[in-house]
Amino acid sequence: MPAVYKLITGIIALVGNLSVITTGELNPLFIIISIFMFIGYWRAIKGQKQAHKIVIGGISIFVLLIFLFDAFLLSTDIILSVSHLSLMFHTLKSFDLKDPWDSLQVFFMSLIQLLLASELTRSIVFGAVFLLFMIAMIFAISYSHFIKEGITDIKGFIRPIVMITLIIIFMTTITFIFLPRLRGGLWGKGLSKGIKSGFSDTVKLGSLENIKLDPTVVMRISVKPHLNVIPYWRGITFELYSNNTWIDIDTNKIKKIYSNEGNFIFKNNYTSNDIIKQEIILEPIDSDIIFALRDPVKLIAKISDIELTNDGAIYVPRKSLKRFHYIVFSTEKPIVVSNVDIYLKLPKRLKRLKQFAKEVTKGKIDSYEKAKTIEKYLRENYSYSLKIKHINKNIDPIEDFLFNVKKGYCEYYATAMVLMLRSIGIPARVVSGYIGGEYNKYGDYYIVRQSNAHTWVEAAIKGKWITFDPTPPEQTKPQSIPLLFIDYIKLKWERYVVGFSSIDQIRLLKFFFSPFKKLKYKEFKPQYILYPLIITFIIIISLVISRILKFKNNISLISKKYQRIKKHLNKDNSLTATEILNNLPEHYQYKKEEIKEFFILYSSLRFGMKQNKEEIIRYNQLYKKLKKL
Amino acid sequence: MTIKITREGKRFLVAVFIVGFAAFNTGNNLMYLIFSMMFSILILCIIVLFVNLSKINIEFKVEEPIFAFTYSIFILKITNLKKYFPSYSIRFILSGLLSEGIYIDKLYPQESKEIRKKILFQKRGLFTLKSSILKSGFPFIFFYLIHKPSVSSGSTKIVVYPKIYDIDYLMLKDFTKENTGRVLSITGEYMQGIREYKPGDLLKNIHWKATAKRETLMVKEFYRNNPKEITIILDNLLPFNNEFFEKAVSLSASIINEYIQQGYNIRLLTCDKSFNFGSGIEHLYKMLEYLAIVKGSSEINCKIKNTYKEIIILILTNDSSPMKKFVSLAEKVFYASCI
Repeated sequence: MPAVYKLITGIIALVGNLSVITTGELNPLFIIISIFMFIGYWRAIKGQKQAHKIVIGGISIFVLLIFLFDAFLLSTDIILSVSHLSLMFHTLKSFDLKDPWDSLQVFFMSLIQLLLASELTRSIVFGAVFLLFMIAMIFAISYSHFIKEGITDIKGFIRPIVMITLIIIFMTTITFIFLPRLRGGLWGKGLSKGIKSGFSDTVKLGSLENIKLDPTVVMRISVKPHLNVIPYWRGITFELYSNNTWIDIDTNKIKKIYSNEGNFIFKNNYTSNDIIKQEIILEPIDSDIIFALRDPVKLIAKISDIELTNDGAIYVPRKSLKRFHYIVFSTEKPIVVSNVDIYLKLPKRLKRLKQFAKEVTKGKIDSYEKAKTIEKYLRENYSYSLKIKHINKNIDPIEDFLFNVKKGYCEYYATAMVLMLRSIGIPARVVSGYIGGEYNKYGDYYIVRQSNAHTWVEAAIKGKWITFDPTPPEQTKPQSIPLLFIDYIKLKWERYVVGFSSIDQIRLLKFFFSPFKKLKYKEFKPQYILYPLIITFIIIISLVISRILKFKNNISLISKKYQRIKKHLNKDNSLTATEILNNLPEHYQYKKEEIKEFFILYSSLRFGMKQNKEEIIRYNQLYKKLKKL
Repeated sequence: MTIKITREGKRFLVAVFIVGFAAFNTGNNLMYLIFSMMFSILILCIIVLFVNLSKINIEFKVEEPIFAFTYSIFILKITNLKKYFPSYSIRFILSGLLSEGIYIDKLYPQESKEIRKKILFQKRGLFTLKSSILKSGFPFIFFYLIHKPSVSSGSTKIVVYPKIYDIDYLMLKDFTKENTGRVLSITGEYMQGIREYKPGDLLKNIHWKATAKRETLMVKEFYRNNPKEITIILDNLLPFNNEFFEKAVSLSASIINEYIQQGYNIRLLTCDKSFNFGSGIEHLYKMLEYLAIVKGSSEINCKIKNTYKEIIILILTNDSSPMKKFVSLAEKVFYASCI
């Protein structure tokens, strides 16, 4: 085996290993073992002696035992244990590269690794590794062909291999887009553990502290029309505050809605001008709640049913182990208040807070004015901090926040405001979700991170829930342009590769057919350029194919006629035209010249570069004459 | 065209099927991506295979004369008739003759290549070069395509003459000398003497030494002797040992070749075929052509007798051959079993 082939084999093994290692799910011990592969390939490329069969056999048995131990005791997961096994296989095989078949085993193992990686991750890194794998694989299987033919120097074949690689990349894209998306669900599972979101029916004060420090992306949201205000992505509302804990007791009042071909209609009384469309890709989180702007009216998602609460929270049937793609339409109008009693409940020991609320709102009559005053007071007199050290642990943390610590983050501000509002008779609740997010101008979408987790206030004023946010603005550092661009690519990867669905296929078809439905001169659509290009391309391809077919048919017909006459003149099929002419029986001699002309014309039409029409006509005339002989 | 799948191809097909099933079953788009790649590789592989071998024209011949056990030159002219697409990695195979084949690395659109290759025929006879195939697995290792192209060359039938070898060791040179010891020229002329120059004499015949001695132009005088005639009798009477018979045929061909080259009149006699005396290359190849296909005969159909004008060389397959009865007629007898 040439050294170059061993090098390509090593590259494929490395790419295979990378595909599973970059998932971040593997045991580091096995990753360390895989490093020994470099020594193996180095030895192989240098042409050093490969390990003895007995040594390889012995280690193979040992590897198998490790695999069983790993599968049943260590990782206890078949996908992870097979991934570990694949790393050990590559290491072992690097010391046992004797013939091209060994290399092919490496190729197949790398392919298996890629499959395992596709189950372990959805990251864009997989995309990069996949592309690398594809290029290396095509080179390797092409090179294998030449090795089989005894050719080791393939410099002269680089160009066609590159062309073939490019065509395969193009064909892969087309195949990927048009393959029908079915789901049997017999096997297969995602291993994503889910992001700790802190969204549950009960949330203890202070639980957001760690979440606020986490930069992990939770959602990517594109919004139409563009928003001019900071969006609040509502999740869950809490009604009851007790023992430093907020409890959602409204979840009992749930309305179950079933899918109508992926559509969930919550309300019908809205106009299209009021609608804000949000297309959301939600990372797997440890909650069954999904997020939307205020007052959702319609949802499009590939799930069987959802649950909608009175306060506008949306629950999916189960926590998603994979990214969840959905489109939600909201009006952003204040939700109508139905029952206020529950939103006035206060813990008994908050006497100082009550007094404080009255002092802050002194002189204000209107509920809205009072709420605004409290919001403003908290914003202006308290500072934002994620590091909270309670000074007096004998009092309620909120009173400690208001009167001693005087700094905190959203949970403290929202809780303080809700309790203050309730103490002065204004029904209020805490809403938990995400605020804003980083707007990516390259992709026109928001990147919402864990650090964007937020709680704010809704107060029932004049029969409607009005939003207030008493938390002072947090100082955030915007991301650099390259990072924004990378995130944009990540979004596209997640949206159009990982999240590509049959709905997208239908949309794509609709996109192609839409100009035929509405043909407006003023409205420009990219299809107006695309269609003429496609039609021109199809015409050219059809012409080329028809020409090839026509030529092929002609050739085939010409040959058939030649064979027929030849057989007619002499039954020995192995004779050439010249031999037939030389041995022409007496009774055919008078036609010798015509037969000769027929044979010459055959050679010209069959092997000539161009087919002359006159020659074809003459050939056919002679054929008709000679077949009567 | 016939498509064949390789061992690697079978495994790849199984892998495509499994990955495809997994993708459709799980709905995992990354698996769809892997399946799309494998499916594209498969489809493109088949398309390229067919395009690569389409419109390839071949012409081939073996440089004549062809002798058994002697290297001959096989000439292959291969043309890519395609207008736009090149062809790569094609193997031309001629069963029985070029089993390993001739490898053509690339052929650009409308390019012709002439490839010469040494070949060795292991036996004499009449061969038909018709089962030629073009084989290619390009671009990958999963399939190969076999195409039986129409051959546009002239004759595909070739005659392989018996092996001609050096017969110096047989001491046959004795026949090339006159009893007088004078050397027989190829033209069969002998110098008789010297005489005075007469108008019309060729200048090349002037004997310069004698002219100088006698101080008058002297010319060499020649006379033409009838060239010697040799009859080669080949023992092809059945039954015989094949190996010895082949040796006898080769020896006959070698002797005929030697004496024809020396200008002798040669005739060949076998049990079922008799040639007239003749000389020259054409006569040689007539006899060689016969020797290329000569087979055993169950009886003697030719009259074999000594005319007393010729030299007879008898070539017997072995010592026990019934044709041994002609030994008395022959000046030389060879036993193929002893060579």
